[in-house]
Amino acid sequence: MREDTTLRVALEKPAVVPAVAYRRMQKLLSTFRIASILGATVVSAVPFLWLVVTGFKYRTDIMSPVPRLFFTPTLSNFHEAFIEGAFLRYLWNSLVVALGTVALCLVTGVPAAYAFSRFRVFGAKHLFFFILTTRMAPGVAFALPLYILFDKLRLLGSIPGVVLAHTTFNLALVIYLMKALFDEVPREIDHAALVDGYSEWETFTRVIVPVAKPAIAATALLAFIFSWNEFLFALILGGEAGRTLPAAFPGLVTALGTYWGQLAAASAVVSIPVIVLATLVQGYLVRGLTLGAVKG
Amino acid sequence: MRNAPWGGYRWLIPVLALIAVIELIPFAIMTWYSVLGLSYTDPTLKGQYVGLDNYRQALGDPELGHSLLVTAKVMLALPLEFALGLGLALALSQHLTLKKYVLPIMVIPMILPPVVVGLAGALNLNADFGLIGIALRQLGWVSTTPLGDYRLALPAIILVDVWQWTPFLSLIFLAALLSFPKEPYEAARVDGASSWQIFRRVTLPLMRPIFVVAFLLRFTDLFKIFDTIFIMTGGGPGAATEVLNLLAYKINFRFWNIGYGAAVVMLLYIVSFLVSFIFVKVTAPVRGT
Repeated sequence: MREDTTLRVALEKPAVVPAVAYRRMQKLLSTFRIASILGATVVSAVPFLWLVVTGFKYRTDIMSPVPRLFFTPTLSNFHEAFIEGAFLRYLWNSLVVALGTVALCLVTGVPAAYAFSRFRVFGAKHLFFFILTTRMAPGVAFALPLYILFDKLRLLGSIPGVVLAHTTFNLALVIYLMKALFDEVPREIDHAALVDGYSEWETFTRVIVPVAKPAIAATALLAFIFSWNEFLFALILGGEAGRTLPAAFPGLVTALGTYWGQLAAASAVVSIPVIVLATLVQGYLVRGLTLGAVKG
Repeated sequence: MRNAPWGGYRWLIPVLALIAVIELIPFAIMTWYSVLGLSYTDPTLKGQYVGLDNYRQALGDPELGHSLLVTAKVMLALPLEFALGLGLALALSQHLTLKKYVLPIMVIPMILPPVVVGLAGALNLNADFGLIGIALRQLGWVSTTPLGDYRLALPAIILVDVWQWTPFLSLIFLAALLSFPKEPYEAARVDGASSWQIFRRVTLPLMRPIFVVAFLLRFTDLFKIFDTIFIMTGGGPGAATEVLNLLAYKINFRFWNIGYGAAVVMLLYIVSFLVSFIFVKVTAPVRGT
């Protein structure tokens, strides 16, 4: 069967390009490929770097009609946003919300992922599907029902409210990713522990969790990033007391004008932890972003 | 024990309790609200039962039709990201030594907070002081900031999305390319196939499963798009960039028409349910459920 197709491929177009021309073309193609890769890298970085640099500029330098690469750097934007403004408190809120979300998702999601990986769970497919919808549905589709519920529970405008809202999408991440990662831990380890007299729960906590520690740590960091980056829930449900850093951004885009300096300064501050964490979990990034469907 | 159908459920109690609080109960309440005439701003709508009126209103709402069209246009980012992502992945697969220097930089757009991506886009596209905006104006392609122009705002948003997500696609396409077995390639080369033939007859068929996964993920994320548009244009100018989510946000949280808004949100759910259903079906072999 395979011979059939390969034969057809060979017959359609025999390679008759002269050797010298062929080599020159390869060289040209190679140069083109490298140029594209480097070009894409520069394009990926520059718009963001320009934003970060803008955070260190005075207003006149920001508004300059000729882009200024050399300028007198200043920390005044950071001072205005974080010291005079309330952004330091929003930064703290972001941290508390992200840590709270990660803790809640790990405590509930990791045992569930283990159960999905090891046990026969009646209706597992339906449950899996249901959990996935939290990742697939637009944020507004969850923000409205949560707004109605939190209004009744007096959780609107509070940090616990935002934490609960962030568990919606992060729970899907933790369960899907951890299930895929537990599947890679050999079952023989479980069996050996059970034979040694450990209970199911002890097998999980004393044997499997230590083995899976790097995977759990990576999952936790990814969940942290997604919560840290989240905007819509924090905007709608957070109010003032539960306002995270991203949710504070629209406050600086006003009818009177956009406070570019402060926005750029806040962007730099909110982005740096994410970039650092992402380099730590690079090996898991693709799996996390595809919910375990693609191995990176 | 491990095979008892209900045995695993003890492990799921915390998760199921959490899901009940954050999903099932709110969902039930919202379903109920979607058949009520309820608005925090219109005193005649005090929460009386109106049957399916909200759904009927939604299906005949020209604003909703317009937003659906805008959302469909945003999807144009998909083929662009696929083409560029695949090209980049193929280039990288030939120059793997570059990979470890280039990837840490390329992942930046996809992991940044989306609001920051939107701000970076808005700043750089500004025709008065943005790097790209000034260049576009000098070239005579635009006269004002694209995000403030009725015709150019949506293409600008698509451009920002392409900037944000193309590296992600090249990353997963590259992962796929590197995971393929070598034998079909060697066989094709021995048989004298040209690089184009190899790409067309060997690589593309092998890529099909990853294309499906990538398509579903990008489709849902484009369907979910909110943060970047919210910060860049807020749906404007006019309603030029008002995708379905922004409309749903406006109805609920700016006009506070909660009853009608709930019906609109329910319609959004249905689309997400369908996509989730397909995603689970398609990725089941990969995930082993």
